Amino acid sequence: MNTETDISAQDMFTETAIGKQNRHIENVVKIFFLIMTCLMILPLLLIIGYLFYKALPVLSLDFLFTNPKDNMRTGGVWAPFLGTIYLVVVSLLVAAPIGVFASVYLNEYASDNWFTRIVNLAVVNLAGVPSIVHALFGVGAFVLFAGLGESILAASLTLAIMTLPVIIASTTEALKAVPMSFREACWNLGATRWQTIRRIVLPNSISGILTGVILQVSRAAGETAPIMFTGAVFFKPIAEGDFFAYNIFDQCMALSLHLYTISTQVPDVTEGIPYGTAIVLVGSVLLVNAASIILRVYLRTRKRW
Amino acid sequence: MKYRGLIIYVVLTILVFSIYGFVIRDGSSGKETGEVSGHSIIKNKGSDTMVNLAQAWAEVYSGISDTVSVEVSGGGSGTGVAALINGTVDIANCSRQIKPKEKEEATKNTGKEPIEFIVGYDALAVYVHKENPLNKITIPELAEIYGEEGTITRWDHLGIANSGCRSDKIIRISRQSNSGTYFYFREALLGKERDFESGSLDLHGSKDVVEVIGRTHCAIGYSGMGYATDHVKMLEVATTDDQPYYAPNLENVIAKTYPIARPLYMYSLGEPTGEAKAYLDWILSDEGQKIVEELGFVPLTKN
Amino acid sequence: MKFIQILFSFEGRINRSGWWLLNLPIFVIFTVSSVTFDFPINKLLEYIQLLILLVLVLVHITISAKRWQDKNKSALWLLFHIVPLICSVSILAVKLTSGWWELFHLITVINGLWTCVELGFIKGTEGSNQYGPDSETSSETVIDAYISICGISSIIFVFGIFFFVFKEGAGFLFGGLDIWQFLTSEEWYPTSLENKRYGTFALILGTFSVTALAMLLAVPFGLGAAIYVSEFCSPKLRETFKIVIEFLAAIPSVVWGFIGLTLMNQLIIQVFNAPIGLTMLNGGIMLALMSVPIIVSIAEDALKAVPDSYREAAEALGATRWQVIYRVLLPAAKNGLLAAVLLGAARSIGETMAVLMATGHSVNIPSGPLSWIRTLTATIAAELGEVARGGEHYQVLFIIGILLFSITFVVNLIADLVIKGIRQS
Repeated sequence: MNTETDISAQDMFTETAIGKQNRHIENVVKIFFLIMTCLMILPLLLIIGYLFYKALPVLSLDFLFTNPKDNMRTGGVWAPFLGTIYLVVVSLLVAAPIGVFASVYLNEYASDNWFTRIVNLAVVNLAGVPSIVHALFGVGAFVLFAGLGESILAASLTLAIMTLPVIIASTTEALKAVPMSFREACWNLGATRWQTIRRIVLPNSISGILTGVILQVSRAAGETAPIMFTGAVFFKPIAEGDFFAYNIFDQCMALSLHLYTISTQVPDVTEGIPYGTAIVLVGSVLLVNAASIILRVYLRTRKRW
Repeated sequence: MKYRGLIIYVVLTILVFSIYGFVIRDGSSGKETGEVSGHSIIKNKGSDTMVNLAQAWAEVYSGISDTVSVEVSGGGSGTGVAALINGTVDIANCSRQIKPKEKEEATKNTGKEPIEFIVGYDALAVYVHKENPLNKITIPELAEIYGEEGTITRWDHLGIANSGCRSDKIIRISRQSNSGTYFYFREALLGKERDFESGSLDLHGSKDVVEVIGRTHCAIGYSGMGYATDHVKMLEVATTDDQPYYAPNLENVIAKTYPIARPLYMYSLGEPTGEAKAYLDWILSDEGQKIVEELGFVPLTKN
Repeated sequence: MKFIQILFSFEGRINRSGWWLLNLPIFVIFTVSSVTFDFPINKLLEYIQLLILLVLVLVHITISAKRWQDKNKSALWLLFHIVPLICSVSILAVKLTSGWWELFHLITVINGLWTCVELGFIKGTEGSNQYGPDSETSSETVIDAYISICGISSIIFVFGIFFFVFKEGAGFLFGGLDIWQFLTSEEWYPTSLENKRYGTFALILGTFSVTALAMLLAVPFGLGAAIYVSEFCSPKLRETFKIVIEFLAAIPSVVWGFIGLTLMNQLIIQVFNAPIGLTMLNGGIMLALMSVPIIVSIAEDALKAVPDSYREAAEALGATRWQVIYRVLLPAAKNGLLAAVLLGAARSIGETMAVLMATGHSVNIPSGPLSWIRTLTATIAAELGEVARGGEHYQVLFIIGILLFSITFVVNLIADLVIKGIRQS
């Protein structure tokens, strides 16, 4: 007992053997976890690098603005690229209002009761439904039941429902970040609930909401399974450079499905083209994601509270 | 910010009136399906085997006629027939003949009978890796390789030493179970009673089959002869071992000596009219048939 | 005013935005119907559609009446609505000669324009009038109703998904499918001419084995990375890592499939000397890379949720960082980590394109990481396009859809309960 209570100042500041060992272990542990993290990040860089390296011979602005040619063996990705834009825009128009309003409901309207819990559970489960089941749903509900046929509209609606949870989740986060005192101040001035939301809550969370919307775009652009049976086609010639070449009641090509078909079904494709298509797809998705991240950082720097 | 409300209202009005105009136009322009501002669409769907051919036709045709655009989707012969039954395509591609039952269903569902056109021939080639010493094979041998409880599972059962394949096990490459190619190959090998043994790699596209075989020493597979690449070898095929072997090429298919060749069909609902008729006529013309040959299929005219 | 009253009552007033909010969707629905109306889907549906359209016309009329009253005018002004109706009907019903057609068309457009301006843009009287009190906030009822509808839409969609997938498959599920065989037989012969067999055992096993392999790869790395990011990183580095993880999560599944088909295929052939690189291992690696971002982000949240006082207390007792993690953090966050793993697994089970392209797609009882397999999702994706609608095979694919839906539903439910468990404790 005596020796323990009797530590002099000198002893306290010199490292004991056990302390040294501990520090050693700690460094090892730290490096171990760092390596694990790096092993996760490495594939991302490798893959993008590999795709880019293989795609280099075909990549140019022309690649984006010419149609697939010679039985899709050469040419570019204009028709599928435009198709993807159509699908994403239409699904965004549907999913964004519903998603934002849904999360406004969950955050601002609903009281904490069993019904709200069920709604929340439904959101969680909607996010977990496999994409191919969404495809089955799209076929059953939009293509057959609603009589839309296989069309851009049917495919976009399927995508919209599939990506709804993405918007709900990030909007909820953005709305939660608005301090309660803002709302209370507004209510005290006699504003109605909607006025408070419209004038205070939404303006203060708009960047967060936009982040969610952008993430939805990136998710919708990359999906293949839900559009395979609801609206995307193998090939459809359209006018090059014409941004209004598709009608939303017709079918369209899509980048993701195009990548699938040229890598499994079309013979003798010029080597770089599937890689080029993959780069265009990954590139646009990552660009959109980068936009959302920049927006988020910007939001954080100009936060007013 | 004073004008924001005004701008929103103006945008909304424009929206409403464009819709309004649309409804009026839709009501007044008659009910011709697929007719969008003088530009008509032919929906063409079906066989994966034919999808590249159909796509090539569509692409060339879009240069010939600027009022017609042909929408091509693959998915398989079953898809084409299904779409025909549902009345959602103008022309269905099919690498097998439509079954009487399907024809009946289509007639019942849509009130129009499917009309058949033979638009070319396709030979199913049996592919192996280019370093595989095997050069020829008989139909019964293929049946034992692919069929349920087949007896040939190793390359030495065929009497060859496939040195590139270490395990010596034959890897069977097949197609997903409802492609027209699968149906036809199964029937050609096994008749109607026997099924394929499961455990084969059921790939999704004709090209995929050839590519995988090109990388795999142990593999054997079947695909259209137009899909051949430098990495694979096509086997000569004989009906039985006392018959002569024939290579899959133009002459043998035309002479009907190559045993696994089949016609390629296109079906329209009822006698084709208007643009669809023009398109089919063009396909059957010399110009259309030239494309058939370019893509490694066998054209009609030489038949 | 209640929402129901706004929709169906001729009493009271409504402001301009309320009118627009209700009318725009009506316009959209009418437009879509006018396009899809021709399709002979089925009679019952046509009647339902007709009924809905009639109700919408009624709503259009009642809110227009309320708009007239809002401007202190009688609802009888509504009679002007009949003019375009007569014109449209006569355009459709009677074959008009071209001059008349143009005239009627013009009348319709002018009338529509006028009512639109009159009802949509001109403000009502301020304060109360003979038809009711000030209408300034009447549109809020509509907005509130819309928000509530959107709020419960997720429930509707989840039920809708189940309903429609179930509807397509129900006929065969209750009429002829041997469910025992469906779940336990490994014979998947949906297109056999003589003897059709729908056994999904090999497919179920394929799905679970590739998921298990993916989790085996993803969980250590995912948790390790989560621990590093939450415990060792400086805030700046943490942000960078999170961005990279987000990027990783954003790569589309078809691109992973493509990587599996090209790069990983060759790698596996070379490294393992396998005859073919499209194997369970290939698919497992792809799935691991896809589910790792989910695991990291949820596990990191769970670790962050452990109060700092725990860490401080442990460190004050002289524990090293490793001991803090091993003895304090992991036990405290174990529910959250479990949820992370479950959600990662759910993602793997539901993944389609990557496994379709990378696993070899072969009906096989998996015998090891280098065997080729087929999953439930890939089977639907490969075969749905080719089946005749309504046939047995088509329905079986939807039944597989129900199976998948149920599996992921249960896994998600458990994960959710586990997360709720932490919040309550």
